[in-house]
Amino acid sequence: MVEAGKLPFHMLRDQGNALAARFNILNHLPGDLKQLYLGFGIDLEASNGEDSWTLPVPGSYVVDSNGTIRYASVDADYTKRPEPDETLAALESL
Amino acid sequence: MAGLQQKLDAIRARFVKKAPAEAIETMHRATQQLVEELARAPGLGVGDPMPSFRLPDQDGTLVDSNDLLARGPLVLSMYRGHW
Repeated sequence: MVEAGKLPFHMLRDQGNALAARFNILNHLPGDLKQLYLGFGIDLEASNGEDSWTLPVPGSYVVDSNGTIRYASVDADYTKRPEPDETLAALESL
Repeated sequence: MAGLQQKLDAIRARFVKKAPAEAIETMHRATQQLVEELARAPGLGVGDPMPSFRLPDQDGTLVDSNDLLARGPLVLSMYRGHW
């Protein structure tokens, strides 16, 4: 996706999930899930460049220019994501 | 318009059809554990200050959240990447 051309937004690398930790959205994968993922060919150590097997819980936030969070959509079920329209509506309501 | 979630649900349904029951059970248990952890220790939400950050972008250029906020509000999406 990055190679497809210039992105109109920043894609930032949160190496080691330090920022995710400050948002309190860390997910430490349990051992049996890790084994399952390895069986699927998903190796988070290879993807993340470190072996903590930690992921961020997916989250979308709208932050006003004072730095205050005005909308937060976080779901432990990572198959559930907010509709982009909902996030944009939150932005437009500022 | 429920476009995105419909697509995600279709992907999930296809996976559930093919995956062994034990795999589904392991994933479900892990999600339940995470639901409980988040209930005990919720993440940042409305009214909380966003932690400031300075992180590299796809070109390795450091991006400072204070510079971004000086230009206006932000939409921030946290998700699993593959580097």
